[in-house]
Amino acid sequence: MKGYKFNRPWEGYVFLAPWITGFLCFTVIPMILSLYFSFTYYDIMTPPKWIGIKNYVDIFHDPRFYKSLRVTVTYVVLGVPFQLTFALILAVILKKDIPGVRIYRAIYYLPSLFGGSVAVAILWRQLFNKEGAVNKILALLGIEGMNWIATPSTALYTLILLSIWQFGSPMVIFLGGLKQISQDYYEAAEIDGCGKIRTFFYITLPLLTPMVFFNIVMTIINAFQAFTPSYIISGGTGAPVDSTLFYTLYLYIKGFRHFSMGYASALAWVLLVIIATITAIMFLIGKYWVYYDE
Amino acid sequence: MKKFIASFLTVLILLSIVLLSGCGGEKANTPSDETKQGENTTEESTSNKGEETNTSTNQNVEIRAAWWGDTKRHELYNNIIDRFEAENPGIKVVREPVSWVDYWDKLTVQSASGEAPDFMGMHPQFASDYVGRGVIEPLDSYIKDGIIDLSNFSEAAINSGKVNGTIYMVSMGLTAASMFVNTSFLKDLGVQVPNFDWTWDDFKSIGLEVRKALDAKGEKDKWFAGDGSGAYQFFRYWARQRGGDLYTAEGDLGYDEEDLVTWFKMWNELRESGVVPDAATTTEYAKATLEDSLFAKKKIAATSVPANQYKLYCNAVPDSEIIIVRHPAMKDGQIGEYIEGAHFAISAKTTPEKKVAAAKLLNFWVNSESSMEIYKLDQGVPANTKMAEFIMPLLDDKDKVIVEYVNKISKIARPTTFPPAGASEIDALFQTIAESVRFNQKTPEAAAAELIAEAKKILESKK
Repeated sequence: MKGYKFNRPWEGYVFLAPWITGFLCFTVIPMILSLYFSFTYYDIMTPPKWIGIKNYVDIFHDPRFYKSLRVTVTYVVLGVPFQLTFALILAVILKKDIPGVRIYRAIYYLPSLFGGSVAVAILWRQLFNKEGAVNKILALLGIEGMNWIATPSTALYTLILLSIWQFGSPMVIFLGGLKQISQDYYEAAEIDGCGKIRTFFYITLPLLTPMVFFNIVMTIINAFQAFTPSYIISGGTGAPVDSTLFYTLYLYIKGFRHFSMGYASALAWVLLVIIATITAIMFLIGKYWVYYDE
Repeated sequence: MKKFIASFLTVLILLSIVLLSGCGGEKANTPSDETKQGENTTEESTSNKGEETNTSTNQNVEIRAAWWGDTKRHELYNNIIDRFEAENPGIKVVREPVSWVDYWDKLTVQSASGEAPDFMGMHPQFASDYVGRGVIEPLDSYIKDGIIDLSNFSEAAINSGKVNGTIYMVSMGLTAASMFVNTSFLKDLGVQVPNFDWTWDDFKSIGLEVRKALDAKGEKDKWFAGDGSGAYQFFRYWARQRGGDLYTAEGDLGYDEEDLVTWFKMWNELRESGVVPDAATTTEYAKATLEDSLFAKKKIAATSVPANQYKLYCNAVPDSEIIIVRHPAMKDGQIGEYIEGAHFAISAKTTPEKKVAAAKLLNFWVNSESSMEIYKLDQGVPANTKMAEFIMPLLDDKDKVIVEYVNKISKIARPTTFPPAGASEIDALFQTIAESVRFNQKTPEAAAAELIAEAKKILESKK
């Protein structure tokens, strides 16, 4: 970067123009508007009325807000570690130069390509129904299945399972990270008589921490915003008994079903603050365990 | 450097999450443009808005028509609109058919951006919300000008489309809630078939007999009837039978905690004794299409449905005989029945010539023989009495059952009140709370208290 003089900066901006336009129109302006709406009573069809911080006060007295937050946090806390562990294990396996490994990589990446799609959510509903495939398999083992998706105590776990299944993107990032680790370390370890498991924990994992960190942050942010699976599987209601009422689903119901767009905007900003805080904490803690091999 | 990129990416992602709320926000410029119009949705504001567009009057108007339904209905409606287009060469109609649930989500979003369809299906349950926001056009002037002719409509049918004394909607057809009973199911079990007039006690005793007969056969996954505890419109019957209604004429709640507690307790008993399915099964099938429903799969014998869908349900179980009976009555209670039905409406936020074209389509739909010979009883018995007579010879036996039922109910029906703004939100609330009672997460008493408190809050916020 040093040594280059920006004497004609406008050229750069011309090339950036498409992105800047999109960024302004679809991100910055809507964000500012939603911040404004969050301080109004806005029913979408008539002009917003300024009501100060009433929406925010209401949110903190809203039992369904806490319910949706609890559901979402459970989803994040259980889903993210499992998903990443799974992704890491597979990345280590698929790093090896076995014949046809590229095909395996592609196959294992597939679920994350369509994992968030409507079709898979519908498939999931079929799998975990009373008469679904899962219960059929359990029946072969002599276990009487239950209605996994329609029972409040198990519904959320089927969704967590669905999220774990989408380990593709972190897996690819782990793979890239694994390939960057210099072979010298492994050779040295082998000469010193270090076993495979110890090699993993003392060489691979520490050198992989930047990727682990990146994946954790990204997956958490994504998980907080999960919407499609619960929307499709619960029929857009968060059923049974709000047990799959994700935060974004509640936001959607408030804004688009119940015409409370001001309230929904406030919910969005609360979510932003929550995610930003968690991310900031991650970065603070990251200093102590992420090792950059620079 | 890596750190910088990572944090930059994170910030980017953070920014974009608010896009979700932004989607709604982006449309913000429309309401402010329409401020003047929103407050006063009469013709005055619309007429001066149409000055520039007046040049194209009667020539190639393109309007959008939206309705809810299944594939079969889409076919019918497409045919009707084709005929309308053939008779009105200047008007082209773009069709937007969707399912019931998606219809309301879509309409909300479209209305928000001032893009509501010019011609649309409307339901009393949602009408107050849309009228209050100036989305629907008042029809009085079109009726005065003779574009929409309601001269053959009964007083009651016209009134069903009034909100706060102004006509906003025109009935698509008159219908009433009913119960469909699969008599083949009951006869196979050797259980007596319910009478047309029956009581909640009969409902329970027949249900228990069915349970006993099913248990004897080892059929655990079958029941007498669907669980109606979460159906707000079914509860409406209960409230009315006990002397209340869902809402008062002033738009407040028309029932009390006692009504709710007795309702939830009754269904709890029915569920525990195996007359209706367990909670998980009810949830699983809550959003099922007709083909996948408990009734179509012959897992239950009785279900509560508006009478106009009789033929659809008969077709869903072709090898069974289906009869239509009233909702169970309450001993010494009042009559729960009332006449209901879906309606047509016109968008207030479109150009005058599109409104006229939409009004013409509406008039064609409910008043012309060429539309009615296709439409028949799709949404109930035509509110136009002449048309109701006209279609009689075209009906088959199953259609006639519907007409006969609606006629019988019209004789006993009592008037009802119009749902206020917020009604759809309360409906959703009712479903959620009823579900938590089904799963024993709330006692009937706690559920009733919570429902009343929350519903009052909703009504208050919409006033």
